[in-house]
Amino acid sequence: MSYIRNNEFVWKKIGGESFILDVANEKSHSLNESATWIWCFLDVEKEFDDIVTEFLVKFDAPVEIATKDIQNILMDLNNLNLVIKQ
Amino acid sequence: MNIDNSTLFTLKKELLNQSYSHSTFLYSRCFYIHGVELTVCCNAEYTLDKIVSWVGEVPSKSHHKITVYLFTPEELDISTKDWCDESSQDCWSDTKDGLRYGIQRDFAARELTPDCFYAVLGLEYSDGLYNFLRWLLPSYLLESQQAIIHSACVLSNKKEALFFLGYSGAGKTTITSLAGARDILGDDMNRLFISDNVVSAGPGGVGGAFEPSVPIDSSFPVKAFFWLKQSNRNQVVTISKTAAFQRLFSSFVGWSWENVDHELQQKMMSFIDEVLRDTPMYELEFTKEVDAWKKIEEVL
Repeated sequence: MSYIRNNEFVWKKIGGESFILDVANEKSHSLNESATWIWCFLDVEKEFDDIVTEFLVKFDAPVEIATKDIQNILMDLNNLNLVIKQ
Repeated sequence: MNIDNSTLFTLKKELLNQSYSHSTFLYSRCFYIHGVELTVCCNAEYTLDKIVSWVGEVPSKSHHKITVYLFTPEELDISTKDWCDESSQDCWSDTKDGLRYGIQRDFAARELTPDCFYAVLGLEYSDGLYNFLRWLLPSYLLESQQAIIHSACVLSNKKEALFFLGYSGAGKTTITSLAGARDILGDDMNRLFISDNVVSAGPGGVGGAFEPSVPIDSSFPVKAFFWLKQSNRNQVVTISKTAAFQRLFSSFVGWSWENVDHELQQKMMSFIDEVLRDTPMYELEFTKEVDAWKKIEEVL
């Protein structure tokens, strides 16, 4: 399973977090630090396992918890159409 | 966007889409608003007199020049009453081939060529002109690091500007009316700008119930932003950078969800990022009592 960021959105990184405008749905989204890292990492298509591996280099977290968190974040981002699942 | 009178909206849209051929004007005058030089051409001198009474005509240094061919509804055989027969205050905005279109209850405008506009304004009250300016100016102001913010702005006892943000009805006019002897920049529209790396504030000059108690071209360093929340207690809470970002973004005048100009959105974000870099935003829970100001002064 691979993922890529949907580049239709205008966004800004603010500190470690980010603000994304979803004009089509008249919404704005704020991403926390880990979701922002994933969002930035997905500028090109990445395999799920690669996301987990790189995430663990950046964040100090147990593998199982990190994997679960990444799954949840990707699911949320995908539901919001911010990330496309390939 | 809410439109209650769709027939009138369609009429205004059709009017803007008609080919424009008018080329002779009897009168013209220059107005200067926050560094934008506005040359208004029209066929009724009283129109210019009214604009002077609302925005003044003191020349100032300008960084952008705009021409507006201005008509009143009467000149198009429509009464001002019929022209403004819309209860919604929402502004429709669109861009075709890089040129802007805008419609609100009391104005309709179209960019004919870059920086040259055709506009029909109901000018019985100042609102028609102010709504037009709030639609027209923001993209030009952003080019010089300025924005009109839907806000109340009051000077602290140290003459630093305090911005109060919030949705309509949140209490912007109320917090202004409780400000006592403090100077007021405006209770609805204020200018936020960055000059020589200093985040500053000045009166908006585009509407509001309170007349500024300082000159229109004055500027004051911004000390803090407050997001208003009416409550039964007075309390000030610091909010996160992203929440502050979202709230300042939603307070920008002249931006709407219909406007999908990515370049403009990106410029707004860069401007907000710079503004909030060293300026805090708090959530202010407040009662409609003058004691709220004690809490505000405590965090300054």
